[in-house]
Formats: sequence, structure tokens, C-alpha cells
Amino acid sequence: MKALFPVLFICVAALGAPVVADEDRRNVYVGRHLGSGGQNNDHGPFIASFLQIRFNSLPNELEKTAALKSYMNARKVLYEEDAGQTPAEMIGKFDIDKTTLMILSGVFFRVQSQAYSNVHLGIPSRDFRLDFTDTNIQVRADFPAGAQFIELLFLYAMIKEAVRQGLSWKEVISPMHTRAKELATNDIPSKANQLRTIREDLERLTP
Amino acid sequence: MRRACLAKSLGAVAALLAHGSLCGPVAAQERNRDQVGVVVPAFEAESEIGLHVAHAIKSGVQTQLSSQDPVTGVKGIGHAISYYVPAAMASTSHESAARLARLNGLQGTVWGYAVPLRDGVAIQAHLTLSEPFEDFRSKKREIWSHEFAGMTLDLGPPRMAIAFLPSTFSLDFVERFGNRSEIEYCRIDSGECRTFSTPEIERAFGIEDDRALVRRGHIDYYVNFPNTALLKSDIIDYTGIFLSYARGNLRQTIQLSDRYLEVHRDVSSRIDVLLYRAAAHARLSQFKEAWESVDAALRLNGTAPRVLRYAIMVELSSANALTDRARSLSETLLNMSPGTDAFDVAIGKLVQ
Repeated sequence: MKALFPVLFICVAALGAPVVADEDRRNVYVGRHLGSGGQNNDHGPFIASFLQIRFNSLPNELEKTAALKSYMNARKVLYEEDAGQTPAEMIGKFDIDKTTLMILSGVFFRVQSQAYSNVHLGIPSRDFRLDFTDTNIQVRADFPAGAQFIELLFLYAMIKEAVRQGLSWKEVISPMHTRAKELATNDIPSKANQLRTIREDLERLTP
Repeated sequence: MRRACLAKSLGAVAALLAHGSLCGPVAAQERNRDQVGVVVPAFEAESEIGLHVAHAIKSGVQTQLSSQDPVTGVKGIGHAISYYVPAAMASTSHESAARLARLNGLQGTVWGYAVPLRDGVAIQAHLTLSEPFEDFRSKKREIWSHEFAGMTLDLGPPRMAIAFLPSTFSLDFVERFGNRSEIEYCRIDSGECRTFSTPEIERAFGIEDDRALVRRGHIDYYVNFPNTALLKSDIIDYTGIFLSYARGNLRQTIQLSDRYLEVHRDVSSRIDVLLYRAAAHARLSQFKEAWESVDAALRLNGTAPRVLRYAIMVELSSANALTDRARSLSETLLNMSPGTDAFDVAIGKLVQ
């Protein structure tokens, strides 16, 4: 066999931003995450960047369809300092900004690379709102599933929104549903109740 | 093939008999010189830590690259490499990673980003596989082909893009074993040790305890690699399973899968590993074991298209007929899948 000589060649994908109607756009807002223990620096932008990269990768990890890609590309993760800190402020954000899909804000522990966020997702006026508190965003040696839990919440919100919009099960919802179902099956004792709620709802949504 | 079968030692024959098969299954696992591998570019990071993480992962993957059949002891079941690239991808995406693998003539890229902490480093790693392309291999063994009813059904790996569980590693480990210029290579023949400052191509061909057996510049070396959290991570284990499958070392796939399922708990990846194991058993004509794996995957997610595809393939391979079970699984697949996958299109025609 002819030897293969690896060639270093890295290409930059020139990805054009898709055109999305304003009413279809949905955003994940990341609010302030001040450092714990007297650190006043805000890690919100860092977390927003972390989640943006993670959520951008997601469509390629699911069964790929053009409709799914288009739907997921219409979502952005944005840092917004005033997204809200208290539950009331965060819920209020959904009324002020109709593009809101999910809000996270909380505190950040740099040493163990973990962030505790209050998470709100969904649209209050449309039969869908879930509140989660003390949710790990990043990773801890003893809790690697934290980041996956955030991914599950994001997918769950995206599924609910797709159902609300009446999008195609096969083309849009099913690939997200498959992944969400597996994430919701992971055993996370501290999130047992929330996982059960999501699992039951995902079962209900299965045609 | 036949000669290779006859040449096996008595011990190897006994091992094969214990596995429920003799020369028939060997046809599915034959010696070959095809090369498969993954590229590991520097992880995206604010500092040099991204280089160290990538090199540590590259070295970890290397320890899994034995060319030996773990049951028969036969060596030379394909070649596998992990190739370190001392630069991060310009764009951190699965598309860029697939392109990088293809441009290097390899089957996948392990990539990601690293966040330095005060006492360690947190990483998010991915494995992206490239779509099949024309390469120099005689056979693409990661594609499972089965002739049925005048059609060729081709089934690729369960998933082409994976996000591993985020992990943390100690700074000490990453700095000691991520910095390639400080890794000691000890000659197997003389025991003489040295370091290399350049990331030249090296091929690992075996593992003994915590040492990888590496060939570099026609000389064989031991490279010590500590049995740490990285070596036990799903990044290394999952990538090892894919590479063993792609090189056609199906018994090694089964062995690595068994170990993975004992250690790792992430449901999505467990499903994939069960499917790799099912395919490896089925391709060795061990259908009872194949069904055990598929049934376990179905219990975890009985509506996932990739699970249904493997279940259908195992059923068609074992029964060689469109049974009621194959038909039922196919109907569920066609209900759940967008129908764009070539396998699904073929199944659609089959059950019409």
C-alpha cells in the first residue's frame, strides 16, 4: 500500500449567515456570572462563547436535514448583562423580548470550572415555561454531565418551540428528540425530578 | 486467507473455538495493510495548553492502536495512526474537522477546546468522521455491507460527529505528557532512551501495560504512558473502538467495547458502542451476541434511527430474509427518519 503522508492543511469554512425572519428568531441569553469569593469579574461573555460553540456543533451531531439546520441556525447565544438575575427579572425578559428562548444567569467558580446558573426557558404566554435553579453549566471532575444537562434544556426548548410552530416531525423534531431522549436518560441524581418531567414530556410528544 | 487460517497455532484455534467459530468468521477479520487514523489538531485555547492537550490525546489514542487480534494473537490487522497537528483549526466546527481528516487522508479528527483552570484544564472534545472518500485502502472496513434481495446495503458508523463528555485533567499530567519534546522514547532492542523535538510520523503497533510500542524512522520504541484519567476517558476509548472497527480488527472492537460499557455511563455513547459491538459480532457471524447488543441499544432508545438501522442489518444478516421483525423495524425506521440517509432509502424500497 502506498504510504500516506499527512498534509497539514486547514481550511476556514466561509459560512454565510442564513436569512431568518424576525418572528422565527430565538435567542439564548446569558446574563451576568460574577466570580465567587470576592471576584467581581463577569464570566457571562465566556459562558456565552462556550455555549455558542457547543450549540453550533449540535446540528451536525444529529440526523442531518436541511430543515433542521436552518431551524437551528436561527438561534443565537448572546451575552446580555441585564438579562436578569432574579427569577422575576428573568421571566420579565420573556415579555419584553419575544425572541427569548432561554436565559441563564448566576455565579462562576473558576477553580473548578463550574458555573451555577438559574435557567429559565420557554415562552410564558404559550403554555411552556420551566424554571431550573442551580444548574451546572460547565464541568466538574465529579459531575461531567453538567454541560450535557444544559444541552438537554436547550434541545428541549427547541423541540417545544418547533412543536408550537407546527414544524415537521421527521425533518426537524425527530433528530432533536432522539438526542434529547438519550440525554434525559442519563442518570443525574441531583436533577432526577427535572429529568423525569422532561422524559415524560418527550414520551408524550412521540407520535 | 485459507493459508492464514491453517497457519494458526493450536492455542489460537482453541481460542476461536471458544468464541464459537473457526475459519468462517476469520474471513471477516483478515490481515491487511490498509491504514486508518485520526488527526488531532491543537485544541482551541487561550494559551499553549491547547497544544499539550492535543498531544496528550494523540498519545493516548496511540496506546489503543494494537494491530493484534486479541483472541488469536495474529498480528497485522491493518495499520492505524493518530497524527498530531501543532496548530488549532481556524474554525472550530465539525465541517472543518471533517475536511481536515479528509485532507490528511484519514478517517476522523479529534478536536475541541481547552480552558485552563488554576489547578488543571477543562476540555470539551469531539470526534468528527469524514464522509467516505477515495483513498488508498483496498476496503473501507468501517462500512458494513450486506447483499440482500439484489441490493447492496451499506451501513456506516453509528454517528459521524460526537461530542464527548467534558472532562478535567491535572495540569501536571498535561504538561508532562502533552509536551512532545519531553516524552522519552526507549529503544526496544537496546533500552537506550531519547527525546524527539519534532512531531514526525510514528506508528503505534501494540501496547504492553502502560507502554505503547511505537515505530518511528524504522526503529521500534517503548513510550511510557501513565494510566491516568485521560487514558481512561471516553475520548480515548471511543476513538479506539472506531479505529479498531475501521481497520477490521473486529475482536478488538468487541474487547474495547466490553471495557467501555463497564466504565462509561453516557447513554448516547453507550448506544453507539453497543452498535459497534453488535456489528462486530454480526460480521463475525456471532448473531446471538449481536442481538444481545442490539437489544440493549433498543432498550436505551428504541426509536433512534441509528439503532433501528443496526437492528435491521443484524436481522437481515442473520436470517437472510425479510422477516416480520425486519419489516417491523423497517417501518419504525421509516416513521422516525427524515429519509435522506442512503440506507433508509434502500430499506424503503425493500419493504415497499
